Amino acid sequence: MKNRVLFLFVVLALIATACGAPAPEVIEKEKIVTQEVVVEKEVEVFVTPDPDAAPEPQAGGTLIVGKASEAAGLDPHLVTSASSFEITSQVYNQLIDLSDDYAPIPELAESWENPDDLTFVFTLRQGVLFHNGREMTAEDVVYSFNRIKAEETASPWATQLALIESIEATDTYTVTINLSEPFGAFISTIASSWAVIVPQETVEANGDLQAVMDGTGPFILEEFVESTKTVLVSNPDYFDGAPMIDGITYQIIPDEASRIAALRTGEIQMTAVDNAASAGLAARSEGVSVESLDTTDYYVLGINTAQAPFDDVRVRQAMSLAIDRQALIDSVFFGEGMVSGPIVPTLGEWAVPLDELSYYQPDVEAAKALLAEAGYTEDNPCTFSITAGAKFPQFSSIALVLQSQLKAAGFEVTLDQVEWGTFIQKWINRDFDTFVSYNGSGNDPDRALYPMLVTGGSVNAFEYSNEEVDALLNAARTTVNAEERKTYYHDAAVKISEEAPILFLATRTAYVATSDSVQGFELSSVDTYRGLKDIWLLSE
Amino acid sequence: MSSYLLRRILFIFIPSLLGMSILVFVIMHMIPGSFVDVLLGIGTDISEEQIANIEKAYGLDKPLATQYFYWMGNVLRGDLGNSLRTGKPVVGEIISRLPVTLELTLFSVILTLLLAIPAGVISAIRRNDLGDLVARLAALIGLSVPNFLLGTLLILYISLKLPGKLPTTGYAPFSEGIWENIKSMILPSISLALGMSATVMRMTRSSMLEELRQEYVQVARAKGLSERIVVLRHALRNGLIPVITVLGIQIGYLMGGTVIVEELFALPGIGRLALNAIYQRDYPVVQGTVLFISFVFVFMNMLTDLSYSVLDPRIQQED
Repeated sequence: MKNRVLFLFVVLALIATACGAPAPEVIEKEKIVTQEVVVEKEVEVFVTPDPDAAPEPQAGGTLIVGKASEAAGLDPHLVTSASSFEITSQVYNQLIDLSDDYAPIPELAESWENPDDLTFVFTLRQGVLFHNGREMTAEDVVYSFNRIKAEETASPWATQLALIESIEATDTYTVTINLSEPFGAFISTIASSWAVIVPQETVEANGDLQAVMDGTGPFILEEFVESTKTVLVSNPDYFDGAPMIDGITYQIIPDEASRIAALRTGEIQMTAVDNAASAGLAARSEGVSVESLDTTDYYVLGINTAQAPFDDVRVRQAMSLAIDRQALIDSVFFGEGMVSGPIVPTLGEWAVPLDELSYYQPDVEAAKALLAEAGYTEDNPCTFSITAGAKFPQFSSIALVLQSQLKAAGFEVTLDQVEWGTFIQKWINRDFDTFVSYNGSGNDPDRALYPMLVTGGSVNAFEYSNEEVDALLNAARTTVNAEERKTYYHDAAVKISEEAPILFLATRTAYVATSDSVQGFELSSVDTYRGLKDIWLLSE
Repeated sequence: MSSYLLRRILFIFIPSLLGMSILVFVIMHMIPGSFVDVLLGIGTDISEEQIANIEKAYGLDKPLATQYFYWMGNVLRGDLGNSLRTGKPVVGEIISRLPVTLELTLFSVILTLLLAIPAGVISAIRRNDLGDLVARLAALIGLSVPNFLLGTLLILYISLKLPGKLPTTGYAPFSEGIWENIKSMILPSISLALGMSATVMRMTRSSMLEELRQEYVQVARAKGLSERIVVLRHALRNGLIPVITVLGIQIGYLMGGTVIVEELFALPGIGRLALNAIYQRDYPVVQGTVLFISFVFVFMNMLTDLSYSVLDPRIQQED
């Protein structure tokens, strides 16, 4: 019997450990807007679908999407992961959406005005129906925002709406929101996938919306079979016109290679791809095209600046000099992606040219000199570890390349690969030397830099503190004039590159592979899949 | 027999499950990263107060012992609690995954029996000739190749080469037609069955060799019985007892969900339920699933022991 009990433990241990990387899941980042920003996007098509004349669009057919991880719940006010928002965004609407260049555009709110710094008045579209058939009115907006804020809802997004002092339905189609203090990014905050409008009666009938959906969006939930599939059908009454396709079926296929195989056999017609190598493989397959998009996310090496040896700025500068960012992009991402400074190049005019930044050109000799100055020699090398959370395989690839690049300059680097939950715990406890991760920078340098690098910032896991950087980031945050802000951010970026509190590496490229029967799909940098209602399918 | 059963239940069944429940509860809360940590991820701009509020809403603010006894109290009433992530009852989640795991187990076991028993018997009676060598080599390969590699090879060389014949991944429930359902099970069952067949075949072979040396076999032959009757009626029946033990443990293992194969072929079985729940720190689902897996495992072992007396009436269960 002893042996069998032992065997049971082995089974458990297998479940807990032997299964490789978890399915990728991205935490949705907030989107912050300033209208002045024009973001340049580079959409690159690897394989052009059909060289012949474009066929006439045709209605009908069901799009089958291969999804890496199942939606961990469907309640848009409660979930945090992109795997959920990918589906909820097809079913629910926000008051305001963002265009691909990050300007606010009407969604459920037809128009809005801002009579003073603290007041926002939204005029709603009329005749918009929930999927249950009832008309959406101002009361639903009040209910939805209050639900996010309410303590008993325990929404992770409540903090985002904390500045709302009061919200009321001034008439059937008008909502007035009062803020407790001026907040320039309010409109962009509510232009987020979690700030959607839901009907009170459906929430109350079901307790929450984790397993049911009732929105105003272009698709209606027909079936949610956990771990297997989610079936959406098109909404003939959608206010912006019914979708061309009859519906979307999401098929859960965790393994990326299996997803690409399924795309090749035609079992699925669309899937997101994380790995640059897999994207290349998919692109070479017959009948498959891959679209890629440089996102405003960037890969980063986070550094625990409060502890030795990183409390010595020369060590961090030596690390920055030792790293060849372009070589990293070439080897890990097959050349896809751009070298990133403290402000990602995809943020267009906000970005600072790389040649104006310090310690950005690889120079191993200079790195060695700085290390020697800091007191490290061959007999007494500077030793530390890079932690890579097993969320995306590219994290450990990046760590491996960094390890060998840093070794050339005299660093002794060890790798520490951990399960994702473990990584989060280490991040919270500041229990790391350095780590590889990626961050979203939204669309304003404030979002990208302020919470991360200002002293005591909410996500400043690096314990970084520098008076000059604080002053510049605060000045940029409280200034309205875009040109002045640009000057502040330029100076901040240069100062940050000198200080190297963390090492900005490269932008993240997003890939979506589709079969050639999918027509008219465009990747959106704001919301990858929002183009689905406009696609159509070539019938075989 | 009944007192034997009673003792098994009292002294092995219940303590095993109780121990398992405590162990999994403690381990789940010991591993770094809590449910709320994983829910919020890194980089979420959120206050301490708000985090405490979320913990409270999910009942995670109470002391661990309190949480355990509360959970155990519900378990005794047949309620495994609700998933933190989806709010759905854990019992329902397990039941909805069970058919997939049951089917996968059934198919793999049938395949294994069809492959392994004849191969093992033939190997034993033709000891050291070519057929035996080939079967033993195949078994060695079957044991050495991990099932995730086998699965990937099957997808690449069977599914992609015969487009439309067999799906690469995914599960087709019975509602989509029996043939569709069986098609979706073929490749995963093969990837599981080949490794299992190797173990069972080797066990059958060595056990048969043992039996064929016994005196009763000589007696049977001396009585003039045909070799076929000697092997199949006499030797095989006794030779199967250790094989049943191996098979029983394998079935217990399969019923717990075969995480890797389920993940590779995107089959929504018990293994994937447990795996996802572990990644998301969905405590009630992990606890419920592990308790269920333990139950099945202990139960399968008991059935295995009971089956000995059916195969060989001389084995009494009265110890």
